[in-house]
Amino acid sequence: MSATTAAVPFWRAAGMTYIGYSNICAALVRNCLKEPFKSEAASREKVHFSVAKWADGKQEKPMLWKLGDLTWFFMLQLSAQMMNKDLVPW
Amino acid sequence: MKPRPPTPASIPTKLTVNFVLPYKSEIDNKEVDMVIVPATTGQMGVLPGHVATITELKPGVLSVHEGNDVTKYFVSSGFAFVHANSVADIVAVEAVPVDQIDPSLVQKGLAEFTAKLGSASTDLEKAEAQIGVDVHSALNAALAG
Repeated sequence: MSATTAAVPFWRAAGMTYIGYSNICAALVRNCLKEPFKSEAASREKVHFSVAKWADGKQEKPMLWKLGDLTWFFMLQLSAQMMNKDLVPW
Repeated sequence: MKPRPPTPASIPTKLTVNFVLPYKSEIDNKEVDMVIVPATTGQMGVLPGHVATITELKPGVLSVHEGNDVTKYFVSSGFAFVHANSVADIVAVEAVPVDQIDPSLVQKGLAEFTAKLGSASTDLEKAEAQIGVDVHSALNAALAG
């Protein structure tokens, strides 16, 4: 595996973080489980997000996202991008 | 929190292991003979008296040896901290007993990510596909061994 030979692992070179890399690895392992272990792992990893836009000094109606574990890493990236702009969640 | 035991003058007969996941403590302060961890540099056997080390783990098999009993886990990634006092702390994001892995899903995933690796265009897509291939190859090897 190329990850072990280079000074910088391939996923790091592609701009991923260790948290992102390890969460993807964990999600892939969970996806290869037999039932009922797969469902148990999925329910454990469920993440809910509530994001509301702040406009005219008021919080607008929040949107609720129910996500599986593989998507939440991308959601964090998205929320980080939003916080740098005018949209302020939480 | 209890203080860690001091480094004994002579090497103890057992290795004390802590193995934790974000959602549970899998092994808590248990005395075993040996653990073999899937370090990024290769499988690393840890016996009592091992030199203090920190090592990154790759997706692979962690085996815990107690006499003739061997417990095998598949860890997704993580770190192992081996202390001078023959205590080893192992942390992982996900770890499952090897017998809970579904071989048909592993084959399916391996084929899927091998195809993705071929069609990936950006560096990020390539890296994601490579992670998929690495994890499923490791799962496959765990089932074979």
